[in-house]
Amino acid sequence: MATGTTGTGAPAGVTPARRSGGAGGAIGAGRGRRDRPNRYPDNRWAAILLAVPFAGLVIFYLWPLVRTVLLSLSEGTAFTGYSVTGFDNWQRVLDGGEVWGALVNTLVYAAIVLLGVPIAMVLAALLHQRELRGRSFYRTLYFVPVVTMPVAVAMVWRYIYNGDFGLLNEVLDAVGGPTRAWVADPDTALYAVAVVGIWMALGTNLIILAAGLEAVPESLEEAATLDGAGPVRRFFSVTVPLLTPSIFLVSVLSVIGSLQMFDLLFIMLGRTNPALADSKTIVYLFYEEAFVRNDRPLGAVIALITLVVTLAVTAVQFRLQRRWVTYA
Amino acid sequence: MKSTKTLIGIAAAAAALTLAACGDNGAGTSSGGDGEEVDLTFATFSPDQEPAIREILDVFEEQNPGVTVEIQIIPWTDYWSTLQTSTAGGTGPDVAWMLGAKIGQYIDGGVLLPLDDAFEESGLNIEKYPEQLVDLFVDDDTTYALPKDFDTIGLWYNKALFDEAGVAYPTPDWTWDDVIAAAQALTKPDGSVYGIGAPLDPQATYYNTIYQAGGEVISADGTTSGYDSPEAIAGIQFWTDMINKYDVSPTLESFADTESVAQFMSGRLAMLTTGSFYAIRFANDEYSSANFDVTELPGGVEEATIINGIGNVALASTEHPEEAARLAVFLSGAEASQISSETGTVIGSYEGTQQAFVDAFPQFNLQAFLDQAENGVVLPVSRNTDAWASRESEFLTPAWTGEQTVEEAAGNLAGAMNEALAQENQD
Repeated sequence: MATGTTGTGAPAGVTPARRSGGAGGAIGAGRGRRDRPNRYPDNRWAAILLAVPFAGLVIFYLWPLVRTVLLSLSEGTAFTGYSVTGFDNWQRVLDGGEVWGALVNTLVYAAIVLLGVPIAMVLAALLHQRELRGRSFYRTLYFVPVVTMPVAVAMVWRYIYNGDFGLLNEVLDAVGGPTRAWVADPDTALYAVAVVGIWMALGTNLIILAAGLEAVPESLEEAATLDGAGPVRRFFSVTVPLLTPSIFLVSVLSVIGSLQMFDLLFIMLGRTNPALADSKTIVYLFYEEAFVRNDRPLGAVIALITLVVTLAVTAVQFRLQRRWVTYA
Repeated sequence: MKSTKTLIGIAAAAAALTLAACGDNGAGTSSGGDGEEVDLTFATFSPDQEPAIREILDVFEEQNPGVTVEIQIIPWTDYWSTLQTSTAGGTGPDVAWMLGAKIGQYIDGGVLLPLDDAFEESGLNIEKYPEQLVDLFVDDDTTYALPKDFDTIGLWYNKALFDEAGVAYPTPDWTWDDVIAAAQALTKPDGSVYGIGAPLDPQATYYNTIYQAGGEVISADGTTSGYDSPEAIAGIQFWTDMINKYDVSPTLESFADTESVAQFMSGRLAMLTTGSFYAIRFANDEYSSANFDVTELPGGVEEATIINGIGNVALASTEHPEEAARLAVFLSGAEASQISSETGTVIGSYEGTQQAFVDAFPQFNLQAFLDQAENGVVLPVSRNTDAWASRESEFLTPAWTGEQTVEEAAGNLAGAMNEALAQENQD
């Protein structure tokens, strides 16, 4: 690589190519195109290169998926081995109330975290202003939560939310607001965690939306200004419609991420939290069944339900996008 | 062109390595006969005890030339799933830590080596171990593990807070009524100090009082739940009353935000019932070391404290069964027990080695934990303990928060537990 790209190495690398090209040209102009001697090697290389990720996909995604389906229909333990017995596990999960409650919690969480998208839009528009000083500083600042370990983030927020000694309660106490044990109270725990979810996702959303904003032609903004549109009107009538493809992408990613939420809940609530029963997400339930109670087949059922729900929700989003996404 | 070839080469090599890693654990390289090199892997979940374990292993390696043992520390949160999957896949460690609550599944799975021959060869005396703990690891007259240590629950208290409130320190002959009276005197109305901590922690709190009230968590034959008996309800009620009736403990919400031991160490709780295993943490903390002491648990209808211990098992998938079994026994033997006790991390299980634990931290009356061992009730287990134990918190939470009566919550828990036990016994 070093000789190929540096200035001194380039001529040596280029010469043979020129020579062969020149040879073809000497025999007859135009003939080189008809022969297309490079066509098959190109395809072969493409096939080989694509085979590598494809093999990865098969080995690490498709095969485990097949195994998960089989496991969900099986009974047994890790030591005795699993044997396919039928739909008993599915019946147990679907008849029990827990999975539905967890599903509702997960969807509520996903909906709340989706509120982070408009927030990210406004911030992206503000940061897009060229006259803003320290733009890159702010961008970095908003991106910091993304590159911070979720465990560290959760620990800090746990302290902020602490009912007895927490920062939030101290502030609220000073201004006479209501105080409570935010993540130990079943009425607030899920929402308190969702706020952290929004905060953590903000950076990624911001980057995607900022990139989308760069693609909005400045001439349109200028034309709107000439027509007498103020900044707010320009934002809603020009920027937002042109940004819809990015908004759509961010929304889809946000929902998929939310449906898999586990780490924040696991660390911020803990096993003996009185709010846990009312705040469990579907992946948390999966963890409990598969790894706490060691019922892997039941865990497989829940994992597959998560997959189906994620596919369904994403399909709905793709269907609805026709109504509001403008592809310029 | 050259770089793509390299890339493919790397990818192929990586794939080959991955597959190779899946196929074989690559553990011992020799066949294990005398005079040959034998490598063993020993899995544990406690980084705290690593120095003591290394010391023990050095002695073992010295006594068994040619054998080297490598410690594999797997964090507690991953330990059981890693051990289970690696053992089932035949790539597990040779020797590993085991708990009574977990061993049932391993015995049923037939993945443990019997240790009886190795034990006999070692010359150790079975009478010198706490009997209840030995029974935990014996199935059908076959010994699969020996307890390496044990822990019991005592009443820890903060002398500074007792002095401040002018209350006499707890003594071994205290009853729970004395505890309530003291807790009321110690609790400050502004919420800065509570008399006692009542967290939803089976081993440290309500298991003890259930057995003291004459109840049981699980029937002796392991088939039915004892939670719906009046004695068990009384044993649980004792703790919920601390919060909901006497107001002498922080709430469950508070313990969810800040764990009980952390509250105790910050001087917010005057008393806390918890295990001997916290002695080392309290001793390493300046405030706790200066102010804390411990005595025996107060008595109920009967004397009882929950006793628990870690055992060492040898896994049947090992390539060196003889050495693995010998190591598992050695790790629970007299020398190992002595070294463990001296560090103060745990109480060594072998009789005659326990004074070292008491002497490790003279600022605490650790003798209290030993004196109670004879009343020890072993932590209740079944073949698949997690199937019901993981439900306890969930079902008892409404009793702790006062949303349900203890009768109601305990009754619901008994129902769920009986269901899990029925499933377990049908398998």
